[in-house]
Amino acid sequence: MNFKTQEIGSIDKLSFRTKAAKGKPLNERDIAEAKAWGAKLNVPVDEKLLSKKEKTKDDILAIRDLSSLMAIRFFEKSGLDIVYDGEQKRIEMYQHAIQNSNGFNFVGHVRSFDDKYYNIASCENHVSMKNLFHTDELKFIANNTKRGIKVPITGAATLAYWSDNKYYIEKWAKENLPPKKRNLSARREFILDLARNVLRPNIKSLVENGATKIQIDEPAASMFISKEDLEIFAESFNESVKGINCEFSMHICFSDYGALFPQILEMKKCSEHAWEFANRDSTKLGGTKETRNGYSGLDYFKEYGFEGNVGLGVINVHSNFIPSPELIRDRVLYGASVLGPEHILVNPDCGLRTRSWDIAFEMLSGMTKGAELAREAV
Amino acid sequence: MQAFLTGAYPHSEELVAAHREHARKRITKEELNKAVGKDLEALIRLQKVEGFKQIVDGQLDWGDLLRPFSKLYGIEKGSLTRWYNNNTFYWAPRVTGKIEWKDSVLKGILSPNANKLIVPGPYTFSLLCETPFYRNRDEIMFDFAKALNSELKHHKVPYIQISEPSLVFSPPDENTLEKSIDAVAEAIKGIKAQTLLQTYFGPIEAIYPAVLEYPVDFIGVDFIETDVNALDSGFAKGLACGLVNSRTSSIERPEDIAEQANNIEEKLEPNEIFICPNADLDLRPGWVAEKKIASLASASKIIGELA
Repeated sequence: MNFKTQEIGSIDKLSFRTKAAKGKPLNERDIAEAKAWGAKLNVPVDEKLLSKKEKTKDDILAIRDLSSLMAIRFFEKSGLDIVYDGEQKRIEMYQHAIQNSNGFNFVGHVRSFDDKYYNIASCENHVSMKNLFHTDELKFIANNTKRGIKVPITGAATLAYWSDNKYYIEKWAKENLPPKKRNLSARREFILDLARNVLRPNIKSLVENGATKIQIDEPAASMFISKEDLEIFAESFNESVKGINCEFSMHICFSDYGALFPQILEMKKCSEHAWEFANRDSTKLGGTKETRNGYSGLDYFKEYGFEGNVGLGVINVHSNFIPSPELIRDRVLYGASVLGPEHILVNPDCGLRTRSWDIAFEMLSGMTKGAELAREAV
Repeated sequence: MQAFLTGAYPHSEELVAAHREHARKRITKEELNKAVGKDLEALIRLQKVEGFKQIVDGQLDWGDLLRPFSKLYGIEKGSLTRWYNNNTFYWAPRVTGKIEWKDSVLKGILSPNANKLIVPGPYTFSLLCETPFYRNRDEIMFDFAKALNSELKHHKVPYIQISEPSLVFSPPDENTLEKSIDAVAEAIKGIKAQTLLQTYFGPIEAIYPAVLEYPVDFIGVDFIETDVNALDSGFAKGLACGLVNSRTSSIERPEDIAEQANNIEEKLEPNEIFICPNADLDLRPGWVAEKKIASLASASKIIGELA
């Protein structure tokens, strides 16, 4: 089937989930919201559990499972072909991976934009894996859906670029090398240690436990765009998946896409690139280059002869503007006109974490309707 | 030797929490503003305690460097875009008509306790905005420079910093560089203030010594990215040395900053020299920024004692 629909990563966590994780009691509003979504998604909500003033560790885990199940049903009900659980069991994509790895200390919050922050860690020792951090999550999801599953996992380069590389910089400072070469060597060793020691064992475990599609998230891909850095970037992907057979995709967003070529084509096992486009696009209907001005990045795939698939970002995740199914259709058909309908999957630009569930649900429902319209039009 | 800050300042953990609570509608805008006010007060106090004469407001309530300027006539908020090679983002201004200044865009968000105003430079603005209206970026530079000039005249502060990271991140060709120099001249025409053109996120070699042609009192150089040995002496301007790295959490030793500043002064022979962070300290958490400021202030004292 052409134009399969999928999510990219995280969605927001409802207040019953976030408050429970912090050990805070839930108020009537939190419980009412959980019940309303439970009813809408046909997920039984244990009101007694949510109302407990003092929650045990098992209670908190049960609430996390409830949140995960709701997110799975949320995606299913909005009509997606490929689902996950909106990363309901992770704090966020960076912190979750880092706190399950050895060698890091968190140093505090840094603003990403507006009121969004992330907790930055400093790498102060040799990097290795502390715990497998996605396997249990996958098992739960596999037991609770019959749809296709795609596991998102944060990539080695992004984990490295978002951290302070103190340990490897100090290690390489002992070498008598020019600063540029020294910094590059420190960066390379850091990224490749993450790829081999953290990413690879997690990916291996996911595949052993039934994962058939894994998306490696590299939103920071274009932070370092020298030829040498991009070669390291491609190498890090190849090292992360070395010896493992699975369908692999890569998600990149808010980046200078042109800068990534041709090196990203060296990721030989990557059969799909899922990118953000709608953020850059006009909201006018139509399929011309002018109306679809946000999708010029597709031309790179054509120019460089990429034979895989593209996950087409058709929803701007940082706006409450809900694209109509017709606008989604036109974006999808434009993508199909550039790369061929058999090469297009349909998804939001990025995870919908910054939108409310009401808005995200409307967006995704509209997206699946738009994909259907595009199928009818082809 | 004086020290000063050159850009946005990190939010305290309390302000981070307040923003999150506000986003979840658990506190009001007034309560959020109160939290911003507390951070601002602490930042102003910190700079005064450390003996800084140029006081910034840390752009705590700006969103990003370009955001207030999206309020200029002819501009609207565009797409979310990566801020150079950092894990931070800005909303690109989308220029949909001729850029014009009708009223102050910084009114209400600029602290009266700050005496240094930091604004984006014309070249940087022209590269970072989206341009469905203008046919070439030179025109944007000039129209933005004119608007900037009105804004700067409106505020009458003694210190002005024109931030031009793109000059060293994506250096212009010779022709564009000349036009950018003219645009900066337009931006500060008739302004009575000490002016600084701050470059960061890249080495200055590609535009050196031409950068000395900008009609400003000081040029800021990112010495985390720039190799001083690649520059010839005869820096016939004031020099702001970016020696504290805003992109690491490691705290620089004051003695090392002082030594580097002295070496730079000996090598380049600028008219006058200041020390500062290489870029916005909001790229690291608040406690890191505080320690870096303390190092900078101590380095300033060491240099003063040696002078």
